[in-house]
Amino acid sequence: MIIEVGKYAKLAILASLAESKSLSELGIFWYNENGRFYKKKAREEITQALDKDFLIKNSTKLKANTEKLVAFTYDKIKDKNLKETLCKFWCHPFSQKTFLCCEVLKQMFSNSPEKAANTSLNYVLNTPLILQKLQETDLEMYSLFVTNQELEEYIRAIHINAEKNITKAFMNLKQKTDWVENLNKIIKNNGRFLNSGNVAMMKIKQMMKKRK
Amino acid sequence: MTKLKIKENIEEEETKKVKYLILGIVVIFAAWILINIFLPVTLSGKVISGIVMLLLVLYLGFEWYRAYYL
Repeated sequence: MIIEVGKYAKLAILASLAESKSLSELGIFWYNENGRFYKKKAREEITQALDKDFLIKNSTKLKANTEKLVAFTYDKIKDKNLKETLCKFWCHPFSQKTFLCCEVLKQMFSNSPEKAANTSLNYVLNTPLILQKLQETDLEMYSLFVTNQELEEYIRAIHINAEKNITKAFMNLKQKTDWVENLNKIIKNNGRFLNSGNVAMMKIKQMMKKRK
Repeated sequence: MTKLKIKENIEEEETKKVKYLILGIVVIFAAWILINIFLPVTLSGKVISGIVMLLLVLYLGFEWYRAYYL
């Protein structure tokens, strides 16, 4: 399902998937400009997103309604178990702080707010899963995907974040292994993500076919 | 090429901390059973070795619990 919101609302959602941000923080984060999100157009779009419950307001700060957005994104999945596993995975604080942290997402879009505004949440959520799947099944395709999508810095940012958050997010080893088990369940789902209409993935598959 | 290593790191930690402990418990238990089957051990010998094995297994079990849950 496509989340229909304006450019500024989308940028606000992407930057606040893991932590709350004020309007001026959002402006500085994306454009290095304090007042960018105070503009009339931006405020209108953000109000609309607030009305649709995609964003939540905590006093002066905005936070994306991550649970709802994840459920919305995976709405079309028929397999109930997979849907539940995906929601559980993305609602885990470690997954959010590691993969959906604003700094990581900024790297994903090579620091470009325009690129970020034109990307679907589906891509944001599926990319780490695709990377993990490809890494385990097809290393050549993995390196092609990383190069094609310019994800080197993104992966480095994920590692830094993971190291920072791993001790805070998990109380013990059992919680860590449960998280990994959840990730394994998703990855083993026969590459649903590789065939989920991801444009970049389609291009790479074509390239691979031509090579063969 | 940079790889995602979060999953691998957690699995490695699990192997280091937990899997060898479980293996230890299984090996000690199996060894005690085999000794009792194939060697002529007296009843008191069986009881004493059983107590020693139980203590060892309990210790390893506690270590396993500590590694997993604490």
